[in-house]
Amino acid sequence: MFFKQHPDQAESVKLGLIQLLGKENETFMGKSVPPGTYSEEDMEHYAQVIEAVSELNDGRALPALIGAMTTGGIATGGILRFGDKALGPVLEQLKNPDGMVRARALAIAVTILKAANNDVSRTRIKDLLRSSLRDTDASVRTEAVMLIECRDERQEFVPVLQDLAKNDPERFPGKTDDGVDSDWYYPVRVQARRVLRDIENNKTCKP
Amino acid sequence: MRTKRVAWILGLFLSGAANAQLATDLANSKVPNALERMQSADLQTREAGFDELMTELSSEVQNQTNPHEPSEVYPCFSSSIRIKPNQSN
Repeated sequence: MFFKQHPDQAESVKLGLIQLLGKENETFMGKSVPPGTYSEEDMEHYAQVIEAVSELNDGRALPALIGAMTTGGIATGGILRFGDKALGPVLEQLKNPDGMVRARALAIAVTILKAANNDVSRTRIKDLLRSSLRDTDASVRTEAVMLIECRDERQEFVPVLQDLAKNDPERFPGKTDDGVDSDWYYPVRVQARRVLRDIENNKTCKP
Repeated sequence: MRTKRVAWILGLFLSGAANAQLATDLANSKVPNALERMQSADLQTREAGFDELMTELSSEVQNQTNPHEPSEVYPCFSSSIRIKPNQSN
């Protein structure tokens, strides 16, 4: 009723909020922002703007919400409300140079495709997971490994998981609890071994 | 800190729960100014503009729908968030 009678007012508020989120994405998600630049109140403001725009349920907000998708569940929830309509723009983010963005885009795309639950969507998920397991960024490979855990067809991924469990190169100083990797911590290998164990033990996943 | 229910405010505003009088009230309120401040290049000004917008929408919606602030989050919207105290209050 309000929209129909006074579209200009509602429009100005909606567009103002969407534009604001675009600005705040640039402010808070910019690569040149060193840690500690912004206060807790600033970050709270950003969270509020994300929440407000998520509530709009307006397709024009999708690019701004995608720009905020690495911030967590509120932005993700706002994107998922659009269902299939969000899939194309989300998949585009798999070309993003930022590995964290690609990892998040992968998780959201798989969630959208899972909802379709048909042969085409299942094949597409498998293709996405296979290509992401070879991503140059370890966070994308880790995300793919964790997503495989919850797939019905996870058995098909055992060979590639075994390869990652032995040979993934990403490492940091430190030790894992199982002591397999001597004095290094290999995050992708650790996740791959865990998923392989779960597959072997027929353990259900924890999405 | 006081609780501000952005989702609740926007939900009522955008669902049309407010009546026609609201549009006139909004036009005469601080909303246009808040929207302008939200476009500022300065983060603090944008924050103040956003807070002002939420405050204005909240008071206008409540004046037109329910004079009492809800003691719980409006059931249609599951989330509630907090914002910093309004410096002008």
